Amino acid sequence: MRTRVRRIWRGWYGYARLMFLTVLQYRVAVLSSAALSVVWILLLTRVWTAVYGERGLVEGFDLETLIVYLTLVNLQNVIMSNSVTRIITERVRVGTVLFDIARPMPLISQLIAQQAGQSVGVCGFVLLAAPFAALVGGLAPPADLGAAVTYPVALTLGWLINTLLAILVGLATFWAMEIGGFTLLYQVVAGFLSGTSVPVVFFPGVFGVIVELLPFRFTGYVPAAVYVGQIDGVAVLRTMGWAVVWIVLLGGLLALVWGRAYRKVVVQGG
Amino acid sequence: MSLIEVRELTKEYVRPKRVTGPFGAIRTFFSREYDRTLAVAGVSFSVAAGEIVGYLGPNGAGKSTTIKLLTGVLRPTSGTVTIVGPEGPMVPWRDRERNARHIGVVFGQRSQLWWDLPLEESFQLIKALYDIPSARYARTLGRLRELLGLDEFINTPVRHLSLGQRMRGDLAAALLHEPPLLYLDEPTVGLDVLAKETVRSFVEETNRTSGTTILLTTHDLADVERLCRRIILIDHGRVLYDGSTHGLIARYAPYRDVVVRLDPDQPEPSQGPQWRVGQFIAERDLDGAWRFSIPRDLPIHTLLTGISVEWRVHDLTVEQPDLEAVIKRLYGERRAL
Repeated sequence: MRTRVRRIWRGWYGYARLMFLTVLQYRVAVLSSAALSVVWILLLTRVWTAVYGERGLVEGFDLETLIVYLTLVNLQNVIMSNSVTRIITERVRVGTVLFDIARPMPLISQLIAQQAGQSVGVCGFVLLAAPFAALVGGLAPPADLGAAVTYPVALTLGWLINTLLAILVGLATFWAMEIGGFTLLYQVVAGFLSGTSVPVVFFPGVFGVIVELLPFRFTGYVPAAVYVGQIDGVAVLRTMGWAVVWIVLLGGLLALVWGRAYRKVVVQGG
Repeated sequence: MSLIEVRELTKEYVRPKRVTGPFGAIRTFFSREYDRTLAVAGVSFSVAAGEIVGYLGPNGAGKSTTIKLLTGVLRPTSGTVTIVGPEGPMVPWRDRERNARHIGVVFGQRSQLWWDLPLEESFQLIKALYDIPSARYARTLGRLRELLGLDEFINTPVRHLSLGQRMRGDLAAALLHEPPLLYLDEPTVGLDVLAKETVRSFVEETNRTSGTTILLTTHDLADVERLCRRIILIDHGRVLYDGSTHGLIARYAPYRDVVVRLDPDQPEPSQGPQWRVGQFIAERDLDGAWRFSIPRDLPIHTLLTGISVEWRVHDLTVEQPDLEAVIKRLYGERRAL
């Protein structure tokens, strides 16, 4: 039993470490994407300031809270940006997925571990960018002690949902060899629905209800809203409960899809 | 006791039939028609611990598919594979993780190394993944560094390595956890003479000192002649021959060639393309030498005395058929069918 736990831990650590090192290798690219998000924060906060004008409160957001929300959610988004979809499509395309399947660790775990390593690495760069983001947008401490404690939990759950979704998208490559266009579309739609430009409570009518039912809001809106105190008290626990439900659902779906993908494995050539 | 036991292994690839014409891609997606390819068709063999077996066949014969089935990467359509592990027998695609700890894999056309990072980082992953204790890791890596000459590039990012260096790195990565079973799929493909030699002597050394059982596919028959006492030859997914390398040559090339060059200051023994000496008939080579094919069990003495009665022999060579000649002939026959 202890051997088993140690083996699992070492495998996770091994993959996470390599992706962490890869992030450092590509530090210029990571820094650029952090810088880009600062520019994006600048644009968004200017637009929203103009839209708000003299309005005080919209759906529970005053302008000041909204600006902190937008700054935070876009910084988070850099951490959420994933490589797993690209990794899996690339490895299936060139056939190196052979080696991954022949490892003593399930492919899905390998991918989650790699994403963890990458996100931890990116975190460092986001902390570097945060002062600039605060300058062009605005940052404030968590709404209260409760928010400070629950924010990291909400962020972690959201990160996991985001990663599971990205792997699901990547697994499509076992059925269709070229999914580049689909991946791009997915990223744009998922990004928008997660609330990185517009808080999801602003979405109108039926659209709002649909977004409420989808898992994307957990990957952006929920953690940031917890931080600024938009979601608080019992609502925080209820929302996180739903996040856990989504994780279980997606995990199950992923296991199912992977089982079918494995049966379909046709390695290219050779 | 055999380490690998393969019985009636069959793998059929099923791919949706491509529809051409307008909206071809979409119609392909909804198509219910399939192309079926039988890559491995009822292959059976067993491998004993400590053997090096050459698994040969022309391109598309089913070699790589067999290896993928043995590693558990693919699931067969039917048939069984049993691998004897330390904790009892395993079925590769069912006991994938247990099997994985037990095997090392090299696919010469692909690399398991991390492209962006120094070579040693890939080894660190193997160390973590296979739960290798630090002392054992240091010892094994030390030996591999020495045998494969890794020191000069162990801190170089893999994308900067030459093909030969990369292959040495891949071999080390496949053996760091000291698996008792090693699958080598074209480990010398694209390498120069010296790099091939390094790979071969390394494989030999590994088998000799660690008793590692090795299944090797290759198109370079020098690999086989150097390393394998046993060959399994397959084509169209079926086993054509399973036995010793010498046995294959004896069975498919029961002749050797005696090439005779006569002194040029004598008249030609024959004006045509053939020359008859007793029961033997020679064909004229392009360079004017005469080539006799003599059955292996017949001494060449009769021929030599027959010739030297009338002719002065300037030069004489006896050419034993090698594996390459045999394989060439076998592949040729299969294609003619």
